[in-house]
Amino acid sequence: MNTEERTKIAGNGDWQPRIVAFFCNWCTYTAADLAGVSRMKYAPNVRIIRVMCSGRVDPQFVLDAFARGADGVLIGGCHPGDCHYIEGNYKALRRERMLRRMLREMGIEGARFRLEWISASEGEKVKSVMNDMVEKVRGLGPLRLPERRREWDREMAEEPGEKEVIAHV
Amino acid sequence: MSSPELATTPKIGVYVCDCGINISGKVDVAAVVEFVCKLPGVTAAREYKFMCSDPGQDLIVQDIKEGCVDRIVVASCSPLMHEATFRRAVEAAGENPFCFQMANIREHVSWVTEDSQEATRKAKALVAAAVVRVGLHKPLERKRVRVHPDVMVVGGGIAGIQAALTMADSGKHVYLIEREPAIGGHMAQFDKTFPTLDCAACILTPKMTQVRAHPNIELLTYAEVEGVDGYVGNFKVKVRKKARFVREDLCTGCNACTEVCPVEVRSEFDEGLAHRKAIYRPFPQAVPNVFTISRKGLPPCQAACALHQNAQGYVTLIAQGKYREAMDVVLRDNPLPSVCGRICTHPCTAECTRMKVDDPLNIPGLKRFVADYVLGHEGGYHLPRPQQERTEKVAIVGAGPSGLMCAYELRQRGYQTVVFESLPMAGGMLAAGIPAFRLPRHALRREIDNLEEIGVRLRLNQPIGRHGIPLETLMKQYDAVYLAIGAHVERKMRVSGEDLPGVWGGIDFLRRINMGELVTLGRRVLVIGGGNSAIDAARTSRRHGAEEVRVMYRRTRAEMPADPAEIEEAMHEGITIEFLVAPHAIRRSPAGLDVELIRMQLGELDDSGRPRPVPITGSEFTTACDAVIATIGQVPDMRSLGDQLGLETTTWGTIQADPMTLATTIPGVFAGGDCVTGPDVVVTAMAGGRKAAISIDRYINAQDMRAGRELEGAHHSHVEVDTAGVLMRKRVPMPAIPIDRRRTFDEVHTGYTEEMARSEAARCLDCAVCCDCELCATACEPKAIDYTMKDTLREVDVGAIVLATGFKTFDARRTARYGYGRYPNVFTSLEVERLVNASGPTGGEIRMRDGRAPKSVGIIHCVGSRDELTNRYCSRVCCMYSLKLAHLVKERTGAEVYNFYIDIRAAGKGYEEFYDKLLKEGVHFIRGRAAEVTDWAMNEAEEGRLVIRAEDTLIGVVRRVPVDMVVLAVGLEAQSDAEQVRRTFNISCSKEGWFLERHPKLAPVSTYTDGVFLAGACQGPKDIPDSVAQAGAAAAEAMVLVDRGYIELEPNTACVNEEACSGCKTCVSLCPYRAISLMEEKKKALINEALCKGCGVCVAACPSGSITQNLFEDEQIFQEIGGLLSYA
Amino acid sequence: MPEWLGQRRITYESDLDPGFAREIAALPGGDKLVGCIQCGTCSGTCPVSPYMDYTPRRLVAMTRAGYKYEVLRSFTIWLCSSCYACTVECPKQIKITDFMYALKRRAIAEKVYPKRFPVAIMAREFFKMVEKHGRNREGGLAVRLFLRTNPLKLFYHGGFALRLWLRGRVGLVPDAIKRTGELKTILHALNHDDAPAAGRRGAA
Repeated sequence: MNTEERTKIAGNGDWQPRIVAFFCNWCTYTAADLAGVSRMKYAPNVRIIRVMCSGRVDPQFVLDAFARGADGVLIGGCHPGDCHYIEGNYKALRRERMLRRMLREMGIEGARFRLEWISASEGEKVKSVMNDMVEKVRGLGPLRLPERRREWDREMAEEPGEKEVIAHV
Repeated sequence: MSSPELATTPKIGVYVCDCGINISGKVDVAAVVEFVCKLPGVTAAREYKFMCSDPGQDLIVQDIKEGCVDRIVVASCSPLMHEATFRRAVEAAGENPFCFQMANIREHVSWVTEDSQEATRKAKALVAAAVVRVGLHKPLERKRVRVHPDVMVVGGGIAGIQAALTMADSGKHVYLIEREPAIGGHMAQFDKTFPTLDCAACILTPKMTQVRAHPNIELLTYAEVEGVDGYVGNFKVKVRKKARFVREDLCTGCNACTEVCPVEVRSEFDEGLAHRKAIYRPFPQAVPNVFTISRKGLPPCQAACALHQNAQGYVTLIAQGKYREAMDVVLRDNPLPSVCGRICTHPCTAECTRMKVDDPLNIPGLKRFVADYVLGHEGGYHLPRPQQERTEKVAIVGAGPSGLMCAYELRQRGYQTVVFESLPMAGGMLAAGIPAFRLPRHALRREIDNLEEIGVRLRLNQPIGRHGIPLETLMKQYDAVYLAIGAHVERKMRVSGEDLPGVWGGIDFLRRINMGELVTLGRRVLVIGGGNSAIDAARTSRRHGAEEVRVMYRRTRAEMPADPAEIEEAMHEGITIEFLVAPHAIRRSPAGLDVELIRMQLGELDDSGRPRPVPITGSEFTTACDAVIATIGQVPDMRSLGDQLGLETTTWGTIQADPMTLATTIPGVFAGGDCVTGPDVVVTAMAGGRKAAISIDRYINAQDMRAGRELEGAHHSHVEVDTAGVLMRKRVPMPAIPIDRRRTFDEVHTGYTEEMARSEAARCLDCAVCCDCELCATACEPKAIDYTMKDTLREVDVGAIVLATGFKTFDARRTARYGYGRYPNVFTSLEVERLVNASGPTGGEIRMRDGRAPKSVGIIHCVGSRDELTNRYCSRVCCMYSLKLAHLVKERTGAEVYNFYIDIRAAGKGYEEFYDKLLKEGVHFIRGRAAEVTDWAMNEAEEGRLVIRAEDTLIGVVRRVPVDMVVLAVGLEAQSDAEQVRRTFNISCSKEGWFLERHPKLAPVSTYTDGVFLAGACQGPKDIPDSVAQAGAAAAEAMVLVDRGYIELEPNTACVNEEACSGCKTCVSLCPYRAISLMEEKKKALINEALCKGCGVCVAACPSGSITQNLFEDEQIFQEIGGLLSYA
Repeated sequence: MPEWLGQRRITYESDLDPGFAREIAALPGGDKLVGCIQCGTCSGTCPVSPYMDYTPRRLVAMTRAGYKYEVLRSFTIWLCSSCYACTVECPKQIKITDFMYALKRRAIAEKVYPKRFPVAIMAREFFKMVEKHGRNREGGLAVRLFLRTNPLKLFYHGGFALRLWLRGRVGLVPDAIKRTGELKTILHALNHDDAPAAGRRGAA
């Protein structure tokens, strides 16, 4: 599926972006709770996984999320200097920089992967980041990596010649 | 330690909560339950109204006990809310509490989603993720860690005091840390408290006394927390106890020191309305009842002086009329005050903070004044005699300022000193080079007499070297030798004709004049050079018969090394200076001398950093004169020393000496002053003399010559002073004799009168506050004052910390329209508290800044509160304290009182009744936020008064109310260093800057960091009863920790799978707690479970994936991701 | 102040217009109006509030409650000098000056304003002129203003107008912007929320 086809589906009201978010327990998850307590309304497309620190987020988690069908991945951590575990968010930042380049090479647009600093009292920011990211990803259309891989597998299977077993999710 | 593997297929029970209608109102719970039943591994799926309630928890317990579930998922509110609750339930049922996972479908779904269908879909996804994840949960054990039995309270206001007393009463050892010199906080500043009108001091003082007397409280005042390490139950706190310079164990609080202290600064406790001394106690009932000296360090003037003369000290004493004491301070570091006061180049004034306001202080002028005064009125001054006598002898060659200073310093240490001088008079350049109209001979004579009086032996007319005693002889006969021969040999101009009669070397000329010789100059004199000697020679010529004196300098005015003030004086006396001109040749002429000069231009920079002058070819011109005086630089007379015995010299012809010790290449021989530095100023030469004396002292006693000598000599001061608000008052000009009387050698500057000196000295800003005059030390009977005290660092172990650091008031200058800082009679509420207080600056009388009692007072509420432009929140206490102040003002002065408010917030016991009382007393209440305070009068009644303009919203008209005094009810703000403090303790601040509590309703005293609790206004604005209540609550929570004796840590620690570990050490440097180390023998990483906090950074970074984190294993998270995406 | 003599002054809910309150609040920036705490700072700083029949604060309260009749007929909205002191000082950062302008436009649209009151007439003529030509012509505006308020003043000010014209301050020749159609489209789109699709009509 190329960009044109993806955008067509995007224009179609049926498809909803699905974004996986990794939120750190001390700042971001608390901020999301605060947004809830304040009854702020935002787009429902982001699904949160709780980790103790944004530094726990292994790049493999991000790739796995995309591989399993996420259209976007968001990592939320404490502001630089405020990490509950002192410097975990800096490590997250380093990984995000490298991952971004890798993803670009793989054809995954920059706007699908995002790192945000949100402190425990910034419920507003949670709302605006969620809404903003969902809109951007919606504009890009679905990523649909699992389906594309199955298509590629099918194409490969139809090719004449020696076959190797291709493992896929 | 690896966790036990899964024994059987998990049986997952899912419980979806309605939470009343909080969840079920948006999410189709039944549909979720139905969806859940289809998920793999689910053996029970239930819906209930309130899962967190007893019957709700019972559902779980029953299912576990019946054996149909062994992994539990609850889909309800946030785990931050109830994870602990459900874990406890699971545990109570007999299952491991960590075989549990929560799905947040309330804060993250039902409360934040508009569309029900979308909400239900999202809830399904989150529950599916939890189900899939929990299947991989393993049973885990919590670790127990001991809790240290001691506690710490940071902040000694009413909240801190209350918390400390409560905990101490229950037997805990409490450290109470307070950064001010005394405890009491803001409450100590108040007069009466609302609504009972109790006197604040009356209810606070007994508590403070209790703190001091309590055997379990260790009170550390004037101390701050620098850093906190460790974790709950085991905090290691670094406390810095600042130096008070007063021994707490000796001070009796008798107050004798403040009587004599000459320095006054604004009192912080009195909100700037009164002054306190540099040595002070914040208020008379202070606990501890001990004085403190505000001492910031070396003031800029003292730091810049090469001799570190205590300029602030003697200037302050002069301002007070204490001339004898000022002289004592001067003589501590300088045996030649009359000399320096007249001719020093004053590097101190170049750093004087006062120049930021108007002019720097005339410090040398003041030094000269006090020296002259003491000589004239108090029988003179004498140098301190040595305390002891030693037998060692030191020879000093040269009786110039450097040699004399060295002799003085050595004499103070008891050595026998002999100073050899080749000229018939002592003083070096002071006697031979500086003319008498700058330094009168009798002044110099007196200084030398003083030195001889304390035992410095002078041998005049005694050269050392080839014309006298050989240097070698001196080295044999004396224990050390100091060479201070100065630089008295004039450099040659190297032009033809410079040896003709009528051409003089500058130093030679000046020396002859100073020795009383008659030198025939003629009418016209040309002086070549641009330094102080040139200017001195020019002005001397003027006084020696020359009518026309011209100075020729080869660069421009900007590069002239002479003192600018001297250049001014010279020009004032009619001497002309020509720039960019140099001599080329001198020829005899019938009328006298013809000097051929050539014009110069500035080229590139040379070694001295100045532009090199380059002659302009073809620009020669000739000028006629009668005498030429050449002063282009001096070198030391090395040839006269004779056999130098290997003394090394530099390329400039000066003696080579180590810059730090002044040792020459010959052991035991030191050199300093102009003969080492080249021509320089007096204070530098004297500093050299002192440095050499220290070196000689160490040399003779075989001590280390170099240790601890970095701060000798001039350096930069780190003391900064805020000069805002200082009124301009320019320097008192030094009187001088008028031009027409300046043809004699009488001293030009006649010196300050007493009135002028005191006026000039009063301009001093007291930069370092305490001026080291040491008058307090003399007055203190118990001898409690110790200037050598230093800050001490102490590490303290505690199990729990209570933060009670309080608040600060809003800076009323930020609301410019109320005129605070512009109109003198606009006050803040805290300032009025001090006025009203009986022990305050006005003794309880309400007086405005012009001294009058007000007849009408306007109190403006909500200054800096309830305002998007400053602080959005309501500061809670201002309405009540404004009512209190209204009552007190009315009671004390009988004035008309107007309160301008938006709402009266009187929610507390007795508060509404207090408001009613005020209404009955006839206080005017105008509901309308004051728009401005102005002094523009629109009618006669408003003339000379402050007018408050506001809309009276209840009546519906705009009113202008003229009053005498305006009081601004300033709001409360977090302390200015709250951000820094919260980082130290690893807690968070809310958006407004207050410390963040764990939950605003249910956990207002605990923070997200276990073991750190909050009490009082630092958590949010509140009044005294609430602060005290909260302090008790915080104390209770802290005691829970300590009394239990142990803490159970979350088992989400990481551990290394040794077999998989490759020893790459990637993880070791990543851990911020240094919990990971490499086992040397096995070359595998090892994690110290006790130190691991469970952040998981190492887990994510490990390249071989050999680190796992309990509760957040990679596989568990992968499954969670899959669960989120695969089902909905 | 409106005159009354012993009349009954109770307001029934049916006298009020809640729709009016919602419409004003729906205008850009109007959502902050509901946050007004009625502190009175706006009235306190307003230099002309002593001359108003209802002070700005009172007008906000009346608008919120739905007193459409009184609000649109007040002198307050016309006396506002746009000094912005109220907007600057308001502790809730309500854009009061813009609120006044919104009410002015509303009053003009509903043709409700004090008759022969020069300020209102001037505002109305100004808006009309700008809408039509995209420019304001002082000469034409002044003539219209005096014609509709006090025609005699035209003669009174004649000499002054002549001097202004001679110095090039007032023009007799009318001028307008090019492509006034586009201006109309913009204004139409701004005033009607359902305009977006219609707005893309290409260059007019």
